[in-house]
Amino acid sequence: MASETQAHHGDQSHSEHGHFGPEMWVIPEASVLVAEVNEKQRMTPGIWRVIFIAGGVLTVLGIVGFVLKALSDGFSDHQAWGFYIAAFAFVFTLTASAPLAACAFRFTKSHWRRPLSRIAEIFSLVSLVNILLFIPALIVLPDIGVMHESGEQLVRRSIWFQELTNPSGWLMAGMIGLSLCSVAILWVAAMPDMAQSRHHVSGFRATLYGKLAGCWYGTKRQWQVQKGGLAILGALYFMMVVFVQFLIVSDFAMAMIPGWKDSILPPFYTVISFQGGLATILLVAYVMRRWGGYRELIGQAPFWAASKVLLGLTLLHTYHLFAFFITYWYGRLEVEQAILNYLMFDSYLGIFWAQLFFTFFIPFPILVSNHARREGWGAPLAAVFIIIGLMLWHIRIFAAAFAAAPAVEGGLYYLPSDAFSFPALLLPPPEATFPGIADIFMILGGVGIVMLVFRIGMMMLPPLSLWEMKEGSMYQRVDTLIRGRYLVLGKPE
Amino acid sequence: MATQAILGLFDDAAAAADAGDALKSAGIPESDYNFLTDVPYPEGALGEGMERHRLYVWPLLGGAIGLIAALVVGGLTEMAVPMTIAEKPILAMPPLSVMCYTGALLGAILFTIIGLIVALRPNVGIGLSDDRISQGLVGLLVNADAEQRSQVTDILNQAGAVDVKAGS
Repeated sequence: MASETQAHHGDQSHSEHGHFGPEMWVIPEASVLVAEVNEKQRMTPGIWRVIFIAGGVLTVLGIVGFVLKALSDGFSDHQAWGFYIAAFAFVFTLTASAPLAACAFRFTKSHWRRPLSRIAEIFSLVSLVNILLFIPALIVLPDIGVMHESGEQLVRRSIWFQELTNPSGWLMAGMIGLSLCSVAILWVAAMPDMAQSRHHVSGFRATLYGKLAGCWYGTKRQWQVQKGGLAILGALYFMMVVFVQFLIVSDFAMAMIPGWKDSILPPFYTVISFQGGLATILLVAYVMRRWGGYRELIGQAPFWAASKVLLGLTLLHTYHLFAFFITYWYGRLEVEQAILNYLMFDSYLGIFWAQLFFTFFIPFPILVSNHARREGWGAPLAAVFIIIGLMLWHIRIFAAAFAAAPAVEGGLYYLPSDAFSFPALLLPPPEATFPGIADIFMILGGVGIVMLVFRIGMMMLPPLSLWEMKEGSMYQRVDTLIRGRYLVLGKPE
Repeated sequence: MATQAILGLFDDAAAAADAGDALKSAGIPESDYNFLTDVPYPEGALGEGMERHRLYVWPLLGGAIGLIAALVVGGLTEMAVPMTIAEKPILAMPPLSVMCYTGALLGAILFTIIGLIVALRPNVGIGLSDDRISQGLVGLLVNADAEQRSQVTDILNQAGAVDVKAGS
């Protein structure tokens, strides 16, 4: 067998290699990888400037929108803040699951994940912003119990029912734990790369790398601890992210529509988050490959392989949507019909169908197409539609939920004696709420802050997982078998 | 006795493994030398023994502390601000379980990070490294006594080291 270990940059014809030829893979030259990536990081092609400036401008718009909203409506009426909650939840959805992709694909020891790992981990930095964005959301969240003028305590139904009058502390603890865990994953995963890049950078980055990775020498024990640490943190992150998603969707969506009780919604939200996270990673990876100067380091294989996962998540999303609908449709309780009419077939009919097109009818055929997936542009294109669709989903669920009922007796609140009567409050369903200029600014600001923080993260940290890519080049080579050339993978574990 | 760090650099991992074997044969304990690599080599690839760590203890400890803290805080909150609803008991277990899960995970995460900070410290005195390790060379760092220095240098050179450096 003749072997080749040099880089393959995906430009050859794949017609003679079957449907998954070796040209889809990139096997970088390990000895120059650190210097090469640091050089690319310095070059800053125009696309990165555009992302940085656009992110900055949109973030400023978001801050302006927030200030306008606070000045005009204050924080006492939760109904005024539905679109802010939608913007926060949208950012949280896209970014909280992204680091999980790095952990999950590392657990499965897939080789194609290597160019995607760091992209996924850099989204951990956005989780710090999530903490800040969460503070106003907690301020506007109505208490679980409030005092009536008569001196009797009024209650609203939520997962904290009976236990707490205000769950903000516990919600924030969950969010902080999640952010802490994701940043720790980023730190541990990037430590070897920062240590190896120390001699290639100067100024602030050299100081930063020295502080964060000064103790790293690459001893056997350090590699083992790093591997164990990533496994433990990955497991804890998975346990935490699903749980915090459950808290967010339960408290900021389900509990805000009186009578809405749905065991499908939390797992539905988790699936949506996984779908959004992966879509975002693939979109960023494509931008890096196509316009960012990393074409020689990010092959087509990550897109080809991850697009199948994205297809599965897209189908799961649609399955959960259908399960949610059909259960309420045949249940036919008054409140169930009202909620269906409110969220799907009456008040938010237009946005519901638009979302369905963006999250399923458009991306599904793209992701099913072998050609689109193999060429590398299929999954990122589908990702664009999915991300737009998910933004609409968040407006339809979170903004609608916050607008559903006022924080008064007979609205969100009940006397304790009526608390178990499952009232159908949405008859007739309220009209849809449309965003004002401040709301639009805040939603755009949500998109902008993700772009801005991610770009800053890419400037500060090695944008590719160098040690994983070098490890990959140790275990991969292209060999000839009879008349075909194939990728050979080493699997030490 | 004063020790000196000696670093041998190899462009061939097999040669580095041979040097490790030669050091072992010369009576240098495994705790006195370390392979420095830019990627995690598979277990045993360089002929070294298994390195044990007890990182898993930290999340278990943190989780237990977090669970107890959440139980106490959640219970005390309930006592301090009771919500009396119909005939339901004052202490509601489902929301308390949410708090306990949050506390346990938060504790586990915090303690894992502390454990990582402790465990990632190098287990030998390392004052010597080389940028060429990031380019794929394998480093073999030996902490040698004064009388072993020349012997260690010879072993590294004979095994095919492309460079041998001595620290202060």
